[in-house]
Amino acid sequence: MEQKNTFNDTYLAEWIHGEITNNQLKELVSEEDYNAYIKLKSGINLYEAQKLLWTIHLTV
Amino acid sequence: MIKDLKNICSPKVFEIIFNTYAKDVKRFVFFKTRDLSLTEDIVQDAFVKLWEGCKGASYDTVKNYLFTIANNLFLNIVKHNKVIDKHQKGYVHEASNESPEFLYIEQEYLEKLETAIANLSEKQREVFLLSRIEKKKYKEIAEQLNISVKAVEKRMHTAVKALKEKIEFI
Repeated sequence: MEQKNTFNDTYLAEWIHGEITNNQLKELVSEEDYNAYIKLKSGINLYEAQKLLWTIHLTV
Repeated sequence: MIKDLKNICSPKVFEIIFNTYAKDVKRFVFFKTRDLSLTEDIVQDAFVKLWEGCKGASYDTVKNYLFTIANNLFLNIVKHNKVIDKHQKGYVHEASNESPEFLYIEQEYLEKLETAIANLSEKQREVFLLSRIEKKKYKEIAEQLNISVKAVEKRMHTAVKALKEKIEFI
């Protein structure tokens, strides 16, 4: 699915970094892409947390 | 400086929080579950959720926050077990985010994500990992790589876009 429009070519970098909101992203991409990006962000957060917990040893 | 020391989104601060509270949370959860394996799952999930919500969490109340998350996770499992019990007795089982199917899909998704990250171009992966795993700001990455902030943002933008597309086809 193609994205609706882009006011710049870095908006996903701004969004993943929390500089633009989910609602603002929703205005920029299709609903299908929006849902995929939300799931991706959630997955990235989990990936980060798992990497971090692995690094600092989960066993307590 | 003090603000940085209380920034839960900083890996070092998160590690301190983990080392400080993990045993207490584990003891608290084990008291409820009496199941070591389940306790470890809940403790891990509690810290994962803290990490996911680190921007909205306060360092000063993080202990209470962790205990609340752990307690809610425990209650969700109890609730889920009751739903399964009802289902086994012939009641209608409504889909739940806590269902094993959901967890399986999420693990599968994470595996796809890991593969997709590995398949990013070297420039994209470098920026992505510096930003997401090492928690560097775009400006810091730009200085480290000796490129402009705009170039870092473009690489990150294309990395996120590529991850979404790659995951769809893995």
